[in-house]
Amino acid sequence: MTLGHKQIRKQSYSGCLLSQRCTMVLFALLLFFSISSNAFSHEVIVNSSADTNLSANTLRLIYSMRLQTWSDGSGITVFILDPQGDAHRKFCLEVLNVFPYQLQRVWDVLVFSGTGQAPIVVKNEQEMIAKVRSTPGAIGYVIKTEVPSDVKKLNIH
Amino acid sequence: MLRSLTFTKWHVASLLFCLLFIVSYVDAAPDFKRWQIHGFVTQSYTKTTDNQFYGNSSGKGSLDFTEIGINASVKPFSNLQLASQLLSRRAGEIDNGDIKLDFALVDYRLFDDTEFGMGVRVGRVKNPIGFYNETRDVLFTREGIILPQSIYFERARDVSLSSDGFHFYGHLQTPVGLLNGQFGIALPRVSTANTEYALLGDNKPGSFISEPSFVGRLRLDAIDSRLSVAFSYIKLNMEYEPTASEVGFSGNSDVSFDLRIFSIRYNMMKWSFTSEYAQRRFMFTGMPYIPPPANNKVGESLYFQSIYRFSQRWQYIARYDVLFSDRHDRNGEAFVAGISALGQTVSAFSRYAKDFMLGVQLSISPNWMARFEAHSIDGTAWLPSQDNPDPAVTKRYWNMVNVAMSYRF
Repeated sequence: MTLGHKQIRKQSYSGCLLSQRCTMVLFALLLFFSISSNAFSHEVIVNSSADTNLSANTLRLIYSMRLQTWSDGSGITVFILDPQGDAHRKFCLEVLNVFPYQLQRVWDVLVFSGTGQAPIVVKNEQEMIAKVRSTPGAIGYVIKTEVPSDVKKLNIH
Repeated sequence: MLRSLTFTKWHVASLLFCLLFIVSYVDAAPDFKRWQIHGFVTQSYTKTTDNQFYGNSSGKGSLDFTEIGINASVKPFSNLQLASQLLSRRAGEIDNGDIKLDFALVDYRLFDDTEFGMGVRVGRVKNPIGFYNETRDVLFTREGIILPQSIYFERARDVSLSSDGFHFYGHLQTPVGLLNGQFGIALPRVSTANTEYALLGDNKPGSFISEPSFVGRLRLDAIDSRLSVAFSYIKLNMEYEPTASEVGFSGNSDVSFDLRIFSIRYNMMKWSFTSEYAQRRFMFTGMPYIPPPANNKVGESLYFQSIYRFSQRWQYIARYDVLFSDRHDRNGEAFVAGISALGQTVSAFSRYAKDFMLGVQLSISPNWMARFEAHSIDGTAWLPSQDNPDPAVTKRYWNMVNVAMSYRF
C-alpha cells in the first residue's frame, strides 16, 4: 500500500496521464480488497486438541463423516453452518470441492442406514467459534468472521 | 412368529457378544452424550389408469402409501456406534403399516485413516445394493416418489432390504479416487408372505427359511468428486419348507437369487445423470411350483435418469426405466407359448415393463419436501400381484400420477 501511494505521488509529480493514475488507484484498491477478503474467508478452525495440518482429501473425508478420529485416536466432532445457507455453500464448493447437495445426501444416507451420524448445525459464525473452542476434537469453519487468536486455524495442504 | 422369535434371540446374542468383546478392549470411559435421533414421515397419493399400484389406485386414487421411520444412534466411543431404526410402511396390499425393525447394528471401526480405513457392522444391516437400496424408504434420499422399479421393485423388497449378520466395510485412497467397499455374510429377511409372492407369485402354505447369503458392493468416487461408479453383487439363498398338504416335493427345495448391478453417476452443479444396469438370476431346484425351464431365468434391468436443479427450491427429474423378466425372451412370446402348451393363459406384457417418468420437486425447507411425478408405462412386469390378484384384468398400457409430501428431522 505504501509503495502504491509513493508511486502515485511520484507519477503525479512527473505529470503523468490521469488514466494512468486511475489505473494505479484501481490496482491498489483491488489489492486491498483481495487481501482483506482473504483474511476473513474460508477459515477452517479446529479445537486446540485437534490436528492442525490436513490434506484437502482428509478434510473431505472428515466432512463426509467417513473419517471419525484424529491421528491420536480421539473422536472428531464436525460442525456446520445452515446447510442451505450461502456460507456453507461457499465452503463446500471452494474448500471441499463438492456440491452441497452431494454432502447432504452422504449425511442422509449415513443417518437413515445407521452407519453414521450427521454433523451438528450451529446458528451462526459466533456460535461456530464458541463450539469449536469448547468441544474437544471439534472442527468447523467461518467465512465472514475474523478468527480470534486463541482458536486454531487449520492449515490445508 | 416362531421364526421371528428365534431370529431375535440370535440377533440380541450376537450384538451382546460384540459389545462385550469391544468394551473389553477399550480403557476410556464411554461418553453417552453423542447421541442423535432422526425420523421421517411421507404420505403419497397414487392415481393410476387400469392397473393397481399401492392400493385401489385406479378409481379416485389411493392414499395407501405411508412411510414412517424413526432412528436413534449413539457413539459411546469415537470408534463405536450403535444405531437402530423402526419402520412402519403402508403400501397397498404389500405392507400393512406394521412396525418392523429396519436395522439394529453395532458399528466398530478397526482402523481409521485418510489413506485406509476399515470396520465391521454386526446385527441387522441395510444391504448395500446399487445407489439407493439402503435408504430406499426415505423420500429425501431417493430420487422420485417411486424408485426405478426395474431394479428397486416392490416384489423382492423384503429379501433385499436388510439382512442379519456381519458386514465388513472400508475405504482406500487410490490415485483415481476413493474406493469404498462393504461385504456381508448374512441371513436375508424372508419370513413374510411377500417373499412367496415375489418368488412364487402366490402365498403358498409352506414357508421360506433363509440361509447364509452374500452381499457386497465396491464403489469408486473419483478424485474430482463428480463421477461415481459402483458394482454390487448379492447372492441370496433360501430353502422352501413345504407343508404336508403340498404335493410334488422330494428332497431339498432351494431358491437362489443372484443379482449384479453396475451403477454410474455424474454430478454437476445443476445436473446429475444416473444410470444402473442389473442382471438377476432366479434359480429354483426341487420346486414343483416353478418347473423347468422357468426355474432358471436371467432378468435384466436398465434405467437412465437426469436431474436438473433449477433453483434451491425447484428441481426436475426425467427417467426411462426398462425391465425384462427374461433377457432371452424380452417380448415374453416364448414364455406365453410355454404356458399355453400347459393349457394356461398369460399375457406377454407381464414379462416386461417400460416406464417413462417426468417429475418435479419442491424443497420447502431443509425439513419439508413435496414431489409430483407422472409415469407412462408399457407392460406389467413389476406390478405387485398382491394389488392385482387377477392378471387377466391387467392392461398393457397404463399411466400413473404420484404426489408425495415428506417431513424429516
